[in-house]
Amino acid sequence: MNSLAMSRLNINSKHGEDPSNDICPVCKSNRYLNPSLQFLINPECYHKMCSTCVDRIFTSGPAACPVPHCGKTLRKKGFHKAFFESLSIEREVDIRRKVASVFNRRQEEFESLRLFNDYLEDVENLVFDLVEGRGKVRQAAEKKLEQYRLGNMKEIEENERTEKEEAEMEKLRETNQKEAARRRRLANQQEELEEKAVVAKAARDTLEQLANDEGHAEEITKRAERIILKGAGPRRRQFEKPVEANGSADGSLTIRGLKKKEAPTKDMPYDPFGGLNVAPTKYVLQKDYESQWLAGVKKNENNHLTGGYSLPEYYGRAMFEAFSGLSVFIEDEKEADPKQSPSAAVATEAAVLAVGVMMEIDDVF
Amino acid sequence: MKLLSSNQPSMATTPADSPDRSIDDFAEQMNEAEKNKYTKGRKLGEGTYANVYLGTLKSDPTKLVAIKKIKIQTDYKEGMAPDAIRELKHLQELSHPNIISLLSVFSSKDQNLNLVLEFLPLGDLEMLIKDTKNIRYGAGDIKAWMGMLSRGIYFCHANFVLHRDIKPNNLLIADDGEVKLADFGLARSFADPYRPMTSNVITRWYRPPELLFGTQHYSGAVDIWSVGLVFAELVLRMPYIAGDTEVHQVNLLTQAVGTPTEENWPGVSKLPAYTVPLPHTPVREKDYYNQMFGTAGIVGVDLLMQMLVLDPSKRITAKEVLNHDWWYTDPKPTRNKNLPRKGGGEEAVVADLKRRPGVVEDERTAKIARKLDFGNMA
Amino acid sequence: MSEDERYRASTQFRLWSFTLYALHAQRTQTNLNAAARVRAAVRRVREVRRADTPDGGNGNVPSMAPEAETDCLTVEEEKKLIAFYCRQALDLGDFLGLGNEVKATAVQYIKRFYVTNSVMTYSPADILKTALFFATKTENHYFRLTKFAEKLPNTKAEDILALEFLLTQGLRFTFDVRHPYRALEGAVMELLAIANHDVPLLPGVEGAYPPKPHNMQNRVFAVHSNARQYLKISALLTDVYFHFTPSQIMMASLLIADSSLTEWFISSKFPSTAEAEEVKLKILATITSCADMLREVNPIRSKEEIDLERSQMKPLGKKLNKCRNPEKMDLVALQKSKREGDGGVDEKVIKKRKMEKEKFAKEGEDLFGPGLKGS
Repeated sequence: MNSLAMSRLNINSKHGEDPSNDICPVCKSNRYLNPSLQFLINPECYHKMCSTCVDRIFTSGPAACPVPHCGKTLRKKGFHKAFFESLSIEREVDIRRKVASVFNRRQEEFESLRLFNDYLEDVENLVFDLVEGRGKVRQAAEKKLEQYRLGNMKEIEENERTEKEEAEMEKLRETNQKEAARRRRLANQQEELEEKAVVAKAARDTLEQLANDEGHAEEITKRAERIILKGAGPRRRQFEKPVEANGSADGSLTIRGLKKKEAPTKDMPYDPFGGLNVAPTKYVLQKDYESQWLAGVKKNENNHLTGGYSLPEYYGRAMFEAFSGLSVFIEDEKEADPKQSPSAAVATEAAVLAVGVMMEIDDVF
Repeated sequence: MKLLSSNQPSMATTPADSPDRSIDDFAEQMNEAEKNKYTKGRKLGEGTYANVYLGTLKSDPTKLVAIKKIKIQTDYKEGMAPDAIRELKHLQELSHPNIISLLSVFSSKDQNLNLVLEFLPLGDLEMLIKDTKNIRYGAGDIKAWMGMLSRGIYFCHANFVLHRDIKPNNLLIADDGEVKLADFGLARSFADPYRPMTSNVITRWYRPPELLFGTQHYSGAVDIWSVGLVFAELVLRMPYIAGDTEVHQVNLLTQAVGTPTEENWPGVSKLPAYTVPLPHTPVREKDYYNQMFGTAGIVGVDLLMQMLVLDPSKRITAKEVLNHDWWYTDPKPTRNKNLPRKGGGEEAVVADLKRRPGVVEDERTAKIARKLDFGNMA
Repeated sequence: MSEDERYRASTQFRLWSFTLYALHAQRTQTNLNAAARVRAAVRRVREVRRADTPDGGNGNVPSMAPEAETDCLTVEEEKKLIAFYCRQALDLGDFLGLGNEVKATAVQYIKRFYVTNSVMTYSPADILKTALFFATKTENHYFRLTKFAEKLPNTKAEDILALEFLLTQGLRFTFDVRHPYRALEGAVMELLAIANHDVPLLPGVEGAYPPKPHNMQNRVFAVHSNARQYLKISALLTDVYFHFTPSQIMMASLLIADSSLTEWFISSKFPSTAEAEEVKLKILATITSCADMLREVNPIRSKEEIDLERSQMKPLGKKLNKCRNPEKMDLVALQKSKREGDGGVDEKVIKKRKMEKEKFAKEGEDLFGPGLKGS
C-alpha cells in the first residue's frame, strides 16, 4: 500500500474497538449472541452485512441493498469476505487491482526511467480520481479507464501473458531450486555415510595390517591417511556438477526470454520494395504513345530495339518529368526553410546567406 | 572577416588587408566550411586513383566516415575524369538505403577532390562469397542479399540511372549488414531515343550478350543480367560465366544459357559484333538450372532464369523482380543482424574505395572492361 | 513517394532553387564582395608598380583606370552581361554541333556559377568555354579537348582546363541539371493520348471525363513547337530555373502557346474537392508568373532587337574590362600555383603572362571577338 493510502488510513482504529465489527448494521444481531458472526461485503457498494442477512435477502435473486439511501441492486454472488477491516481500503484495493489489470505496462516498454515514472504517476492520478472522486470526476476517470482498456487490448493481453509467463518461470525456478537443494542434501548425506564407511574400512584394514605386518606401521598409517583423503576428494568435486546441471533451469529461462523478443519482429512481413512506392499519382502510364518522332525507333532503325532499348522506360521518364515538381512551390518552400536541406550535399552556408543575413566567416589565417 | 551588407556599398574592408588572398571567393569559403565539418583521420589506404582516409564528423566523433581523396590523374589530359564526374553526378542525386551515401564533397587546397562517403567496414559481397573456408551461408541469406541488391538497382532505374558495373566487388556491406551498391564510375542517365551509348561497359563476366554484341542502344536490362550473374555466383560460390576475352565470354555464355539466334532473339544477327560459335546450344531449360542452382529452390530458379533471358526486351525488369514470388516463399530472407559477416574488412573496404571506378587493378585485368577510351565515351 | 517528393530530393531543388528575394540578395552580396576585392587588388598592383617604376608613372596598361577608384559593375549590369554571354554560349554550342541538353546544361552551369562568383573576378568569355566543355562530359556527349580548343578562336586547351576546377567548385560539385524538354515530350504524349484514345486522366479515377477542348489534336501539335522555342531560349536566358521546377517551366511554355488548352489540362488533373481546388489554383498562379518571366526574352528576335542588344552591351563590355580583378587574370598560372601548392607564382612570370593576356584583351576589346572560324 503506498503512502497516499497510508495517510488516508485511520491508523488509530484498532481491531475490536470499532463497534461495527460486532453488530450487523442490517439485522443488528451481535457477536455476543452469535459468536460465529461473519461479515460480507459486495463491491457494488461496499456495505457490510452478516452472512445471515445476505442469505435471507439475496438467496431468491437480486435485490436492493438494505442499507438506507443505497438501494443498489446486488447479487448474492458478489458478496465475499472483506480482506481488510477498513472498507475504504478494501474498496481502494479492489479499484487498484482493476486499474492494474488494465494499466499493466512494464518498465522495459519505456525509453527511459523518467518516462516510466511519468506513466506511473499518471496511473496514480487516475486511481486517486477513482477512489476519492465524486460524481463527474469519478465518471470521467472510469471512462478513461474503459477507453484505455478498449484501445490497448492487445498490449494489455500481451503484458498479462508476459506476467503470467514470468510467474510461471519463477515458480519453475523455485521448484527446480528446491529440487536441487533436496538432491544436494541427499547427496551430502550419502556421501557422509560413504566417507564414514571408507574411513571405517581403512581403519579396520590398517588395524589388520598392523596386526599382520608389524614392520611398516608408519607407512601403513600414512597410506591409510592418504586413502581417506583421496576418497573424499573426487566425490566432493562431483558435487558441483548437479548445481551446474540445474543451471539449465536458468538456461530454459533464457530460451524463453529470447523467443519473447523475436516474436514481435517476426510479425512484420517482408516487403521486397522496402517500403518504396513510386507509383504515379498524376497520370496513368500507357504501354505505348503516338509520336512521329519515335517512328524510327519503333521501326527498329539502327537496331535500336534489338539491343533492348526500352521505349516504356522513356515514356515513364517523360511522363514523370512532366509532373514532377508541379506542386512544389519554391517561393514558399525556400522562404520557410532558411537553412536548406538537412540531407547530404554541400548546402547550408548558401542558405544562410540567401536570406540576406550578414555572415561572419572566420578568416582561415 | 565580415562580408559587406548591401547598405554600405563603398566600404573597403578587411579582405584587402588579409595577407592571404587565396581564400577570398565565396565559393571557396563555402568549400572551407564544408571541409571543416570533418576531421580527417588516419590513412586507411593508398592507390593510384585515390587515397582513403578514415574520418569523423567534428560535431559527433562517434560518426565514422570514409574520405576518398581523388588524385589528379596525369595520364588523363582532359581535366576532371569522367568516372569522378559520374560518381559525383549520380551519388548526389540518389539517396537510398541500398546505395552508398555521399555525405559531402569538398576540395582540398591542392585542388584535389574529396568525397565523404559513409563508412562501410564489413567489406564486400565478393569477400563473403570467396571465403568458403570460414563463411557459410544458406538460401535465406542469399535471398536477403538479393533483395537488397534488387532494391538498390530498382531505385537507380526508377530514377533513370543505369549503373553499368554490377558485380559482387561493388556490393559493399554496412555495419548493420545492409548491402549497398557502390562505384558509380560507369553510371549514366538513361539515353533519350536515338542517342547512342558505348557498349564497352560492365565487367566482362557480368556483361550481357547485347553489350558483347556491340549494341549502342540498350536499357536497364543490362543491369538485370549482371544481377542474375551475381545471383548465380552467390549460389555456386564462384563466377558463373568467366571468360578471358570477349570472344571467350560469348562462348561460355552460349554454353551456360544458350546461343542467341534469330529464333530466340529477333534482330540479334544484325548487331554490329554478333558472332556465335557453332554448333548452337539450345536455350537451357529449367531442369538444367534446377540441377545447378538447387539451393535457390524452384521459385528462385525461375527468377534467375528470367534474369538470364537472352533477348533483353524479354528479360525481367527491376520492378518485376521485386514483384516475384520468390520473396514470399520459404525460407524467408534472413534478418540483417543474422547475416554472415566477414571479420574486420577494413583493408577490404579501403581496397574497394581506392579502386578507380570502372577500372580494376592489374591482376584483374583479365576480367575487366578494357581501359576506357574517354574520347569516345558516351 | 509522389512525383513532387522525388523532385525535392534533387540537388536542383535542394541547392539551386531560390526565392526571388534570396537570389537577388545573394547576387548583391557577390557583386559587392567582388567589387571590394577588385579595388583592393588594384590598390596592391599600383603599389607594386609604384615600387618598380620610381617615376611614379601609371605603367603602360591601357585597361587600368588612372588613380581614381575603379568603377565597378552593378548587379543589374552583371545580369545583363551574363545573359549576353549565355546567348554566346548557345551560339557557340550550335557552331560546335552540340546537342540541346549539352547547351542547356552549359548555360545553367554559367548562371549557377555566377550566383556566387562575379564577372569582375572571372571573365564570362572564358567561363563559357569551360562550361561548354564540361557539359559535354556531364551530358555524355564527349568532345576531345584538343579538338574543342582548335575550333575556338584564340583558345588554348590549358585555358579551358584552367577554369574547370573553379567551375566545379562554384557548382558545389553538383552536376545534374534537370531540363523541361523531356517533360514537354511527356505532356504532349499525354495530351495526344487523351485527344485520340480517351486514356484515364488520373490513376484510380474512372468514368466521365471533362469535355475535351475542340480541335484538340491540331492544337497539341501546334503547342509542341511553340512551347519548345520558349524552352530552348527563354527558359535558359531568364532566371526561371532558379524559381520554378522543370514541370512548371514546361507548363508555363504551354500556357504561352495555348492558354486555354493548358488550363484545361491542369484542371483535368485535379479532382473536384476543395483541397485539390486550392492546389490547382496555386499551380495556375505559379505557372502564370513563370510565363511572365519567360516572356521577358523573346525566343525569336527581330534584327532591331539584336542590334539594340549589341549597342547596350558595348559600353558594358568596356566597363567590364576596366574593372576586372587584375590578380585573377592569369588563370593558368593561378590554377597551377594552387595545384602545386606554392604560396605564389614567380612575380616575373605573372607579369609576363599578364602582358600577353592584356595584348589579347586589347585585340579582343571588341566584345564579340574575331569571327568564328568557318562562320
